[in-house]
Parts: sequence; structure tokens; C-alpha cells
Amino acid sequence: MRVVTAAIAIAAGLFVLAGYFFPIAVLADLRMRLIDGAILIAGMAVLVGIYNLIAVQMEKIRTRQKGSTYGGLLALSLVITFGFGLLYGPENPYIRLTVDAIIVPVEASLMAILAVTLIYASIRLLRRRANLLSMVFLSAAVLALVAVVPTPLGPIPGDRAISSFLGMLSGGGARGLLLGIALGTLLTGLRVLFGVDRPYGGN
Amino acid sequence: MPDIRCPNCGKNNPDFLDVCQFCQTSLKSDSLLHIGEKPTRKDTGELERVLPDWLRDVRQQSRESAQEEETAQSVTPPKVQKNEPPDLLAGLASQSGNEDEDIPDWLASINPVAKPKPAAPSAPAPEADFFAQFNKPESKPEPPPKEVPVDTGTAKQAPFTSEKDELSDWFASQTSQAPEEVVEPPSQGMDWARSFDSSPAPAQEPAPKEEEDLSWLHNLEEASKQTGDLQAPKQSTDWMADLPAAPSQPAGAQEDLSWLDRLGGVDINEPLPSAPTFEPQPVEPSRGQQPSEPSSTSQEDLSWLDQLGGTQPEQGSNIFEEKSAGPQEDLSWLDQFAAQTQEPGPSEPTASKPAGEDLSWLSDLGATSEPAQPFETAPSQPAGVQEDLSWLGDLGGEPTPASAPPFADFGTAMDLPPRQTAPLGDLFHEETPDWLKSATEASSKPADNEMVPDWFQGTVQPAEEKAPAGQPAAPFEADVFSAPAEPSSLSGQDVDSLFSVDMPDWLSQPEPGAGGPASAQAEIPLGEAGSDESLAPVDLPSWVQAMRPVEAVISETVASPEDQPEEQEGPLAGLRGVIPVGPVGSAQRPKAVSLKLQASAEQQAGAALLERILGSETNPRPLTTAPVVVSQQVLRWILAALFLIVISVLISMRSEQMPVTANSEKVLGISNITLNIPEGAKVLVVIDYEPSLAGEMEAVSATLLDDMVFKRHPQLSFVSTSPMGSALVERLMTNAKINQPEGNNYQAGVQYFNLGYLPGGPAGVLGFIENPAAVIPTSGVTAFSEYAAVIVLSDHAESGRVWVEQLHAQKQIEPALAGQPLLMVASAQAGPLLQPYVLSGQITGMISGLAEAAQYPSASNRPGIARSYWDTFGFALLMSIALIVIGSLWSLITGIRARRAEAEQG
Repeated sequence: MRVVTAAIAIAAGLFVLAGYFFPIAVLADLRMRLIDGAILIAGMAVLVGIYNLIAVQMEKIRTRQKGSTYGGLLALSLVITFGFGLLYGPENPYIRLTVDAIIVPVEASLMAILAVTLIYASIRLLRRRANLLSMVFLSAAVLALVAVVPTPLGPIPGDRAISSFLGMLSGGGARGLLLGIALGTLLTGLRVLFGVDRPYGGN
Repeated sequence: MPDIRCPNCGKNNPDFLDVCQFCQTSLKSDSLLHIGEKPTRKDTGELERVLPDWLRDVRQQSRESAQEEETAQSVTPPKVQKNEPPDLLAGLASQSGNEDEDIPDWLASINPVAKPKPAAPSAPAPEADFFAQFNKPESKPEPPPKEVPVDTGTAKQAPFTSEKDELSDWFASQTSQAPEEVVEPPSQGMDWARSFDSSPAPAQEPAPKEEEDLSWLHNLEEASKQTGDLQAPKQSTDWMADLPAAPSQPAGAQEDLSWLDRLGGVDINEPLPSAPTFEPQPVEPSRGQQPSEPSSTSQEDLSWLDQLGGTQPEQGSNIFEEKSAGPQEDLSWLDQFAAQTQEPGPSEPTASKPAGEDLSWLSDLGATSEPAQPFETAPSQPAGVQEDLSWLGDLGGEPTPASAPPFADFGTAMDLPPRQTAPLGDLFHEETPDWLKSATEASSKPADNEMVPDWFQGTVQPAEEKAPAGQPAAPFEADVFSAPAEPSSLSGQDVDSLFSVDMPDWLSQPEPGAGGPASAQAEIPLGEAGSDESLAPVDLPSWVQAMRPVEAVISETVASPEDQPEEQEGPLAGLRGVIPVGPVGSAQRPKAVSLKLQASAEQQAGAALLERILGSETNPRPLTTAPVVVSQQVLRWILAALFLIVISVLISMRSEQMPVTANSEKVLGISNITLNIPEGAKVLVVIDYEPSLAGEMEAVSATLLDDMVFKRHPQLSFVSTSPMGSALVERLMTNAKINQPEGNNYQAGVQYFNLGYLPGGPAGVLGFIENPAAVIPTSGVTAFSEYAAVIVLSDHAESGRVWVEQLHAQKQIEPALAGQPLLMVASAQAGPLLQPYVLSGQITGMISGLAEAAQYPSASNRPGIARSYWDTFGFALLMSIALIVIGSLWSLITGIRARRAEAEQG
């Protein structure tokens, strides 16, 4: 069975890759079908994830574990929201009210706490680790903030130079990350095509 | 090539030669054993020539001695071999390690011809020097007749019969006698005895021992010939013949003393009655248990002794009949010797006296000493056989029940008269043979106390002192000289056994300054006073002393014998170092060993630590509760409160006083791109941000969308690759006031469409790009190229990257997609990561963060969300910068101070 799954995965990858390089209608059609299949599977995976979430919470409720109340509340809200969403659509005012009044504020509040936490961490950084790297990091952060901070007196002179300088550093770092990501993605794809990695199981 | 060694000349020859090239000897000896061949039997005599010379001599000597023994055996009837117990006195003959000591000193001094051997300060003498050893404790030249080593106490001094022919005839008879066969005592012990059995010629055999043993006899014979004292042996022979059959006796005693029989000129052809063996065992209870046993056999065996003393066999038989102890008879001649030591001068044998009287001293030799008689008491008169031997019994001093002399049994059994311990006096001179008298003439008359050898006196005196405690040494003395199990008669074999027993070290101990035994004895500590030992140090046998621990011996080693004082009295008179002088008491005690465990300080510290750990296991530990309010929490609260207050105030004020940065070229370029979108064209808007960043994203994207809608009235299609994206479309449209009537009043489903969620991540994007209708049928487009522009709203670089990569790849395939602009609206955190795509041209334009969004010029001149957020954003940002800078400095300073304080404490 492991050989079959590996063969399917490898074949699908080869077909898709071949479709990129060989503009053959059959290959293109086959690629499209494989992609459609992947889209469907991914969509169903979301539903499976939602089901798994409910199942876990229900298990916690059944075994009366700690936090089972919140699990039950989660499951209830999920069911209600999912039901209303299926029935009325996402443009329904109640759905929008749920999103506007609950989902977005909750997540936004978490992001606001992050801001306070970052400032606190930056304040305590030199107390814990007073070294050159810490000072450079703090200096860079302060400069980045200074470059964009509006002042009542207008923009700070040299903000553009600072922005360019920092952009240059960040741009170089970003490119490095992106190149690494690209290479990693390429290597992972090749490993899957070669059957070395089998994330779909069978190891 | 291997060589063959010639057996004759010893030279090497090649192996291919059969004959030696030097001496022509055959190399291929028949005697060589080849592989597979069976060895041929050879006579060892043929190989004698290869033996070394010394081995040949030994073999020759052994052959000769064997031949002599065979001839002697052929002449004399073989004795019935009896199982004799070990003769403890057999070692007496083997004590001598020096030729000079073989001849007893007392005998040597008797015979003027023979050189008197000096009292040997050397190693202990063999059995032949049994009597000589008695003279060793005396540092001065010892008179031969004094030191008769008989501790019976009952031996009675008897005058010697100095008949001349007696000894000579005996010697002559010995030449044809067979050697002793059944002598159980060690061969060394019997060498002295055997020496008497051999003929004069054999006495001078290569064996030096035999010769040594007989030489003194030869000397005696010569002396007796001169004095004419050897006439008794004939009579003794007759006397021996008339002896009745000996009763049962220890066979070993009689057999052992057979040589004494032959010494007395016994007819060897006459079968000797079976005599029990002489067993000088320390059986005290056995003493006296055979008081009435006739000792006829021993009488016969000891006839030679009678002959030695010139006694008549008839009377000798009477004597032995009366006696009960065998050793007494054997050592009767010793009585005479003792009498000589006491009374110098008397040398006239009393020839008229009956033979029994003459040998009375020998008969009393083994007799037990009478308790009443002190050993030093001089014998009154030779009143008979018993009296004659009394001096021997008295030699051991006053006997006690616990320290009975060896021959005590014999005395009690025979009911002997009190022995004479006094000097012999005139009676000695009358009775002793001339050849013995001559020996005694030179001797000085010792005092009564000196009559008994010192060693002998010492055994008796310590025995008297330690009588209650018991003295194993005294019994040992008795064992040496007595045969408790024997009957009264003392046979020649008994005498043999007497003198053939291994001399105890305390008897055979050399003079001070001698070898090991003496020094070993000297190392014996004087701790006996504090110990539970009942033995006196002097009485300890050598084997007991050898059992002492070496360390104790070493530690207790005292000064050399030379440094120690000389004993003045007692049996150790004249000896040095016998009893080591050492401290008595705690100094001799072994060092106390501490029972405490020797542990180092480190080990003790580790043990204490372990003990504390174990003890703390049972002790409850106080829980350290953290304070409710911690400084760190206070700081966070302060910061949070500060931000909330400032921002809330600013937001409520709706201030827009802060100046906005001048429009950048990048932002102006995006504005120009939106102008190039056809009127009413379809524009794809991808919402790939989370609700957490909806505020920033809506503020940043609202300006662009509003301007585009205001200018070109495109048909917006919203798609999202995240599940919450589709729910944020309306919020965006509302906040951007696109679907508001005061805004562009876009209608859902008319001007803008919410396509929903696009699953599959990159695959879904690819599929939607390749065939939008297939992936999302409600997209309303058949090709992706129908979209005039793509605007991606993303708060993370991943989603933007996916769209960039997939779209760019498709643009390579479809040329129609080449002119389709891709606009990116990213949050401030995703902007730097998407900047490379902007620089590479894959992203047409990107607005990153609120600052750039605020710079976007709005054609509608309606203030956007970004502008309303600008003042609040500015002040919050300034406050953040201030807090970071000031807080960092404060933390830096406090940290330095804290570390300095720790270093100072530290």
C-alpha cells in the first residue's frame, strides 16, 4: 500500500510539472484535474478540521477535563455560526454582527496586547542582556519607528534616508529569506517526486 | 642443519653421519628412541657411567652398606618386626649435628684416650650426644660423670663393674650381629643405637655417623682393656640367658633398645623374647600402672648394660624381676655414672658384688622417683638394685604428682628403695669398672645440687613451683625418659628408645650464643606472668614456640643473648637469652586498634551532607508563594493604561493636526496605475488578512479602493484564500464607505461580488488563475485575463508571495496576463518581505503600512481612515519610542548597578 501511495503522489507531481514545461493539452487537462482534486481535498480538509475540533472539545466535555466548559461553548458557537452561515449567507446582518462584534474585536485586542508586550520587552531587554547585539536591535527598532513617526512639527529630517537605509537592510534580508524559501520549496518538491519524503504516510 | 652431539666426546657432528668424526663413536645409538618405536628396557647400571662422580660415590657407599647389612642380617636372626609406637627418644641420637658432639662428653671424659669432647656451645648434638647435651648448660668443662641426663629420680647410682672382658666380648659379639630391624624410632635416632650393633669394622664404615657412634665405645673398650673391667659381659651374657621370658611389654621399647642388648654382649643367636615397644608417651596416669609387671624381657635386653657395669646376669635377672620398669634397668649404668660424678675417685669395681647389684643403677634408671626423696639427696649405700638406680631417679629433683619424672612409674612399680642422690663416694669406686673409674677420676665431685644437671634441676624445680598449674613440659620430660606403659624391666630396646627420642629443645638447647633454637627461645617474652599460660617459658617446646606469631616474636625480640645476663641458678644456670628480658605488662600487649572509622574531613563532610539531605526529606518545606503583584505586572499595567488613555483621548478628539509626509513617488505611481484601469472593468481583490489586523488593513486599503472606485467604477470581485476573508469583505466595504451612500454606494452582487473562500492554497490560486470559472463558477469570468487588475490585501507575506508566484508563472504562459497589474496592499510587518517582489517588478505597486497609506492622494479628497488614524498613530508611536528609549536606559542603569552589587557581595 505504501508503494501505491508513493506512486500516485509521484505520478501526480510529474504530470503537473510536465504540464508546466510541455504545453500539451492532455497534460494541461490532466494538471487541471489534479489541481481541482487538490482544491477539493483542501476544502474538505477544512471541514474535517472543524469536525476534529468539535470532536476534541466534545471529548473534553465527556471526560470532564479542565476547560471542558469553554470547549462546550466553543462547539456551540461553532454550530450556531455554521448553521446560520449556511442558511443566511455571510452577508446576513447577524453574521456580520457576529464578525464585527465578536471575532474582529477579540483578535484585535490580542494584537493590541502584543504591542504592549513588545514595548515592555524592549524596555527590559537591556536589563536582562546588556550586550552589543541587544543595543543594535533596539537602535534599529527605534530608528524604524523614528523614520515613520509623524511629529507635530512635521516629518523628521532624514527620515527618508533612514527609511532607505533600513529598507536596504531589510530588503537584503527579505531576499535571503525568499531565496531560502524558494530553494526549500524546490527541494521538498523534488524529494516528494523522488519518493524520499512521503508526507502523505507510508514511512 | 641440525647436528648430533657425540655421547662420547661431546662434539657436534652433522646429522648425516653415523659415526663421530672425532672419536669414531657411533652416533646412531640404539638407545635413542625414534618416533614410533617402543623403548627398550635398559639396566640402569649401564648408565652409571654417565652419572656424576659424587652420585657414583653415594651409590657405591649405599651398595656397600647394603651389603654389610645383608651380611649382618644373615648372621643374626631377624627380629620379629613389631608395630612399635614412635620412639620419642629416638631423636636423641639424631640431635647432634656435629661430629664432635657425637661422642657424649661424659663418655669422652671418662676415657682418657679418647679426647674429651668439650661441652658444645654449638648446635644441639644428635642422639649420640644425648648425654653430652646435659653437660652443655655448664659453661665450664663438665665432668663427664656428673651430667647424666636422667630425670627419673629413681635411678640409683650403682657401681660399675669394670670387668675388662665384658665389653670386649660384647664388642666382638657385635660384629656378627644383625642390625636392628625393627627400630621404629627415626633412623637418625637409632644411628647411635645401631652403631653399637655393627662390628668394629663396620663401625668405621663410610657412614660417618656409625663410626662416630662406635668410637666412644671403642675407646671405652680400650680403656676397659687397660683396666681389665670388661669381664662382666660374659657373665652378663649368662645372666641374660638365664633371664625368664619377658612379659608383655611395649614392643617398641624392647626392640628399640636391642642395640643395648648387643652392647652388653648378648648372644645374638638367642632369640630374644618378644618385647613390647618402648613408648615414652606422656601418659601420667599410666605411670605406676604397671608396677608389678615383670620386665624379664627388658631384663634380657638390658643385660649388656649389666655387663657394662660388670654385673652378673643372674643377679641382674633378679634385679629385673624385682623391678617393674624397663627403663630403669636400661639406664642402670647411668646410675653408676651419676655415682661417679658424685664421688670422684672410686674406681674399684666390686667384682664380688652380684651382677644384679652392679646393674642396679641401670634398673633404677627408669624407675619413678620416690616422692619423698629429693633429687639431690645422696644415696646412702648401694643397698641393692633399687638403691643403685636411685640416683637416676633423684636426678630429676623432688618429684611431684604433676611433674613426675619420666621414670616415675618404674620406681613406684618396683618399690625401689630410696635412691641415692649423694655422691658416689667409696662405693662408687668399688663398684664402678675401671674404665669408668678412669673417666670419673678427672671429674670433680660436684655438690649435691650440682649432681643433677642444671637443666634437669630446672625441670624439676619449675615443676615444683608450678605444680598446681600443671606443666606440660614436665610430662614431656617424663615422656622423654619414661615408658609409662612399660613394665618394670627395662630392656635394651627401651634404652634405645630412650636415647633415640628426639631431644626437646630445652634439653638439646646449646649453650648461650648458639644458633636458632636458643635464640628463638630467647625471643619468648616474659609475658607469661600476665597471660593465662601455665607453662614456664623454659618449658615450652620448640614446636610451641614456632607457633607464635612472627610479629609478636619480632616485636618482642629482646636483645641478643649476649646482652642478657647469665642465669645463675636453676636448670638454665649458665645459659643466656633463654628467657628474654623484656618488659612485662602493657608493653607486651598488642596495640589497641581503634574501632573508629577512619574517615577524612572530606568524607565526613560528605556524610554530614548526606545526612542533612536525608533529614530534609521528612521535613516539610515552606512553599514559596509568588506575590500577587509583581513589578513586571505593574509595568505592563502602566504601559497598557498609558496607551489606552492616550490613544482613547486622541481618537475621541479626532485630531488631524499632525502633518502628513509628502507623497512619495511610489505612492504616486500606484495612483497612476489605478487611473489606467478601464472604466467599469473587473478587478479582483484578494483579501488575505486576518481579523486581528483588519483595522490596519482596512485603513491602508480603504484609501486605494475608494480612489479606484471613485475614479473608475470597477466591478470588484472579492476572493479570499483564508476562511475569514470572505467575512471581512463587507466590513471593508463599509469602513471604506464604498457601499455607503455617502460614499460610492456600491451594491453587493452588482458592483462588487464576494466570491468566497478559495481553498487549496497555491493550488487553488493556480487553478483559479488558470480557470476561474472551473474553480469558482460564480466568478463571472472565463479567464483570469478578464480581470483588469489584481489587488492583493495581505497582512502576511506568504499569501502575497503565493499570488505573486502563481500569477507571474501564468503570465509567462498567457501573454494576455502580461499587462495585468498586480497591486499589493500589505501591513507594515509584511511590507519589507514583499519589497523584493516590488523591486523585481513582479508587484506593480505596493502600499505598506499606515504611513504610506496616508500619503496616497485621494482624488475624492475624502479623508480616509488612514488620515483619521494618523494623529493617534503618531502620538502612540512617539510614546512608544519614548518608552523604549527611556525604559531601555533605565533598565541598563539598573542592571549595571545590580550586577555591581552582586559582584561586591559576591
